[in-house]
Amino acid sequence: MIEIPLAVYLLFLAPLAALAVGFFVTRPLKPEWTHIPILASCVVVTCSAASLAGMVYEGRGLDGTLFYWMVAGDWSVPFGVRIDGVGVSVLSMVSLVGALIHVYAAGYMKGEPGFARFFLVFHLFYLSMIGLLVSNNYVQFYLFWELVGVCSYFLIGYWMHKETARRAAMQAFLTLRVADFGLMLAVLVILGLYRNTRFAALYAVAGALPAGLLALLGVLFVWAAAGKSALFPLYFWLPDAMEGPTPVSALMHAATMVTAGIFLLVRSWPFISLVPGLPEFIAVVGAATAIFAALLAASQTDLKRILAYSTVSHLGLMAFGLGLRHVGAGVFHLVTHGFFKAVLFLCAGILAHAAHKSTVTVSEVGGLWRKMPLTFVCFTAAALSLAGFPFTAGFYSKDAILDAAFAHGGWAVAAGLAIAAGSAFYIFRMLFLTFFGSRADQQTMEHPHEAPPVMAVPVAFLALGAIGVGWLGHGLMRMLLSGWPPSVPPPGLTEPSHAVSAAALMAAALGAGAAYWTTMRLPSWDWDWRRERPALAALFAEDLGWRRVPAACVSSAVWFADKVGRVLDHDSWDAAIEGSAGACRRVSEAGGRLATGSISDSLWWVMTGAAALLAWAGYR
Amino acid sequence: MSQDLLTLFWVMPAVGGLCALLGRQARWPALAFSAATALYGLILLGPASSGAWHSAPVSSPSWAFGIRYLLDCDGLSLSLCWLTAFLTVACVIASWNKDYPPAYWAAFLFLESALLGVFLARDLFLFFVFWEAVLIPMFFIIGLWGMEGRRHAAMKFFLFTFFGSIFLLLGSIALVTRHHAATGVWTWDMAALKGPGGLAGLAIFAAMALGFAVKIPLVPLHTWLPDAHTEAPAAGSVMLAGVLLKMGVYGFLRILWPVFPKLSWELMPWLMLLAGVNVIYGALCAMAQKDLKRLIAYSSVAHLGFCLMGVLSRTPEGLLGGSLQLLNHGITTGALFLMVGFLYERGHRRGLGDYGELYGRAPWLTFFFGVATMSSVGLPGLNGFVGEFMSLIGVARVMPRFVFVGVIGVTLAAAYALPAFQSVFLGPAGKASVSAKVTDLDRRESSLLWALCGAMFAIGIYPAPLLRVLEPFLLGLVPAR
Repeated sequence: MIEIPLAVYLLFLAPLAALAVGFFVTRPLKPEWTHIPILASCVVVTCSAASLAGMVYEGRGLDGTLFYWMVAGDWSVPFGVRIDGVGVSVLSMVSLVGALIHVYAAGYMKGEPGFARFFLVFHLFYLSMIGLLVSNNYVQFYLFWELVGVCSYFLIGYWMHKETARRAAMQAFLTLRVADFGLMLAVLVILGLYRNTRFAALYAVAGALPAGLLALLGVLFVWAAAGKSALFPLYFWLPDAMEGPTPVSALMHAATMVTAGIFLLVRSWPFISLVPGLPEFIAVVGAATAIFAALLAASQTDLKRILAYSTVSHLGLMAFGLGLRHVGAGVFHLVTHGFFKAVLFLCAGILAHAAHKSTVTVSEVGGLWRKMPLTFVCFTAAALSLAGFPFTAGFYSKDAILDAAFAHGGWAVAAGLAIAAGSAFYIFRMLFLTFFGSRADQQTMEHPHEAPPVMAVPVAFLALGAIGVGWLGHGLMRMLLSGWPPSVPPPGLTEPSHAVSAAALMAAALGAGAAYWTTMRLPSWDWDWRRERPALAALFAEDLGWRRVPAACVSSAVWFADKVGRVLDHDSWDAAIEGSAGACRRVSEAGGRLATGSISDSLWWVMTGAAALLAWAGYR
Repeated sequence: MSQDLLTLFWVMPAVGGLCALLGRQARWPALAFSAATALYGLILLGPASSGAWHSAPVSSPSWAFGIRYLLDCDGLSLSLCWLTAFLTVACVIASWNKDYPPAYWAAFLFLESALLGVFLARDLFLFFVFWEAVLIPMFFIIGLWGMEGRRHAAMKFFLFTFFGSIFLLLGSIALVTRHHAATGVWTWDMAALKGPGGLAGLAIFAAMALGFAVKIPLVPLHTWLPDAHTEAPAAGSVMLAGVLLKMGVYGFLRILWPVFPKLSWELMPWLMLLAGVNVIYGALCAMAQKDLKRLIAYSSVAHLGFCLMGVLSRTPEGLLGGSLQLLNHGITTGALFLMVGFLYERGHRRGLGDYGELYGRAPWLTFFFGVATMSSVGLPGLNGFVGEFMSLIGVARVMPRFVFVGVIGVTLAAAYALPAFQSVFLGPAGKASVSAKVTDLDRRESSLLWALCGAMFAIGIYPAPLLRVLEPFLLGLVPAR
């Protein structure tokens, strides 16, 4: 029996207790206090995560069962925890960033009518992600995976009175469900063959699995991850998910939700890495997603949508890193991305909050750096980190991935540099458009004001993280390696060469310079090309046409269901059954008409019968 | 002794029904007797789980042709009896404020009595008697107290199920006479009967399976179900979907598997195909519905397909999962039909487009409906997932390729359930909307739903104890491989 430390129990019990108190006590009595038990739980979870991270850093992992969930005879699905390097390195980022976003949300959502509902679902979302990161088997993983999806449905659709919010929520849920198909099928296949989904047991037999099965599992995992982590072709729900309140977007993009898909790939890496060609495929999909989304991010006008496409792009970059077999680099970027993307979203939220709207476009801002200096500083720090400016967090993690690209050579180098240039372009475009100017096409905000401390302080902390977490890279790698399944080669983080750094910096400078040119030198360029080429603008608005594909899939599914449910079932088959009653009646009525009761008719029938009998006898 | 304990179980509601018929305040005896039955069912857990009745020598005399009064109770029977008893209490409480005649309350108690009989009987003839007895109160519940098209629906329900019952009876008689011809012993004891092989066995199996299939219902024998569920009063739909459909799958488990161990295994792929058709076809039909009750009715077709898939796999996971899913479906769909009933009482409409924006007016109704919808969709952490998932594991173990169909069904479930929930509760209220009439649940209604949702969470989070209760009989059905 493995001794399970208190921190592990606290990871689950603190949020559950906070949710119970919030639901049963504060919500009915004092809804505006609902955040208090929940913030307390965030503190407990973050501390627990830190203590577990320390434990793993010292080289002690943990894989134990808390209780048995499903049982049948000698078979069971445990509910357990696996505290290993992969889980804990993501867990410590998620718990910290998530907790700070909770604090921010307490300020941002103050006075909203559904404050209690918001915080309860928000915290359940956080709990689900924590649970996902420490699961020790695929069934439990799937449990939290689905819970994350459901919470996101309710959070994206938080402003239900808005048509767009409802549509976005439904689109997100159904898209995720289509993607979850892959995970569920994979888990069932594993269970059908091995009756066991514990990671520890499966890692041990990964090498012995038949090649066909491995390939199937790998493809299913990638499909599922593409849904949650918004990779091409299933990325489209994420930009629309901007309809939720900003803290939700920040949590989804930085800490929970989208990281789940990448985490699934990392968890399943012992299988995926054994499938020939699959890692390369992931790299190609990741690179394509990253470039495609960077292009779209550069064309968006809504601040939150720019950031959303930027997340898609960065998720692509993480997948690119994983696919090039540098798992450590991918995880590292996942962690740093969590910090800087949270800052960017929260800053966008501060701008929206100042404008008293749910979101703002580039036409409504401009020249804000004087009026909102703290927001400007934080945003700039995060933007530099995202663009990979030297010694910021993004620099280290992005260079680790680019290093992998250079090691791979060929197309990967071109793709990596294109991504670096693209991300620098869109984020500096956003920075210049928002904080400098203003321009003729911009109606700047009437009374811009800095955020209250409850919102500003977490953003400042996160901004420090966006600058500084890169320096922890080697500690992170040590942690990652300490609990890594031994059957796979360690995901090392090589020291990036100066040539790679220089190339990356050149690419980023190129992107930033282009952004400067198009926003500062040609201040109305961003509006001009839209006005002059409406067809091109429309093409970008529907993601170069890709959005039509899922729409067509949905409408054909609805059409087919209607044909089956209404035309086939109701109008044809049920009508035929109902018609059989009438047919029976008609037959019996026809029979009844034969029985007229008159003697001559009966005699005729007798004679006919006798004749038929005689004819039959004669024939024999 | 032990048989008398079980006799008391099914007789108690019947006595309550008589009291309700004779007394004036019919709902009070209905509540008292249904509650007493439910509590009594809980007490039976002790002896049932210890297997006390299996070892007890059966001493009841044969009546004629080996027909005997044989009752027994194991985990499978007990869990379905609990479902029956608690849903009856729920139905009584849900109809409390309505001005129904005594016969209404009596009908529910007689229905409960007959259903308990079905689940407790171990003699095939007795089983058939109870099986048919279920039809009578249900026929009146639909036909007398239903919606506009009630008479047509009641007749359709009766003819369909009666059509199935004829085959069931013929099959049973053939089975018993064949058994007599082979062994020289007249018996209707389910545990003792062994089906013949060859073509005769196949014919008997097919006839009895047809009888059960109408009840489940298997596509294409399902068209009675949407009409009956839609036209029945709310409490009637609860019993119909919650318990009556379970009789079909129960018949497969209790009779066909033990009596035809080999044949049923050989036919498994074909039956699995039928169950798969149920899952997909039911889900697609549900997607096309505009009426909330019809939508839930079609979703039952899909869910029972999952139950049957699990049960067909004859693996520990599948058998337990399928049987657990029988309970889960009863709880979840029962709750959904109750809530549609509450909604109908307020707005007098059932169309998806007739409501909207209810989350502000009726937050608790929205909450409970949301939970039940998620359970129906198979969200992990709620009861629906455990049953569905374990059923599918069973399928994955015997027909790995076929599990694909089940997972498509799970995906489709989201595509019909969530849009319906959204358009009624979250979506915009149209011009013709009757949302303004809807008030939130009162204390009686919400306490009922708390109980049902509590069960959903409990089974979803910690199903292991209930699965252990189900195990004894079901694990015996696993063929040696």
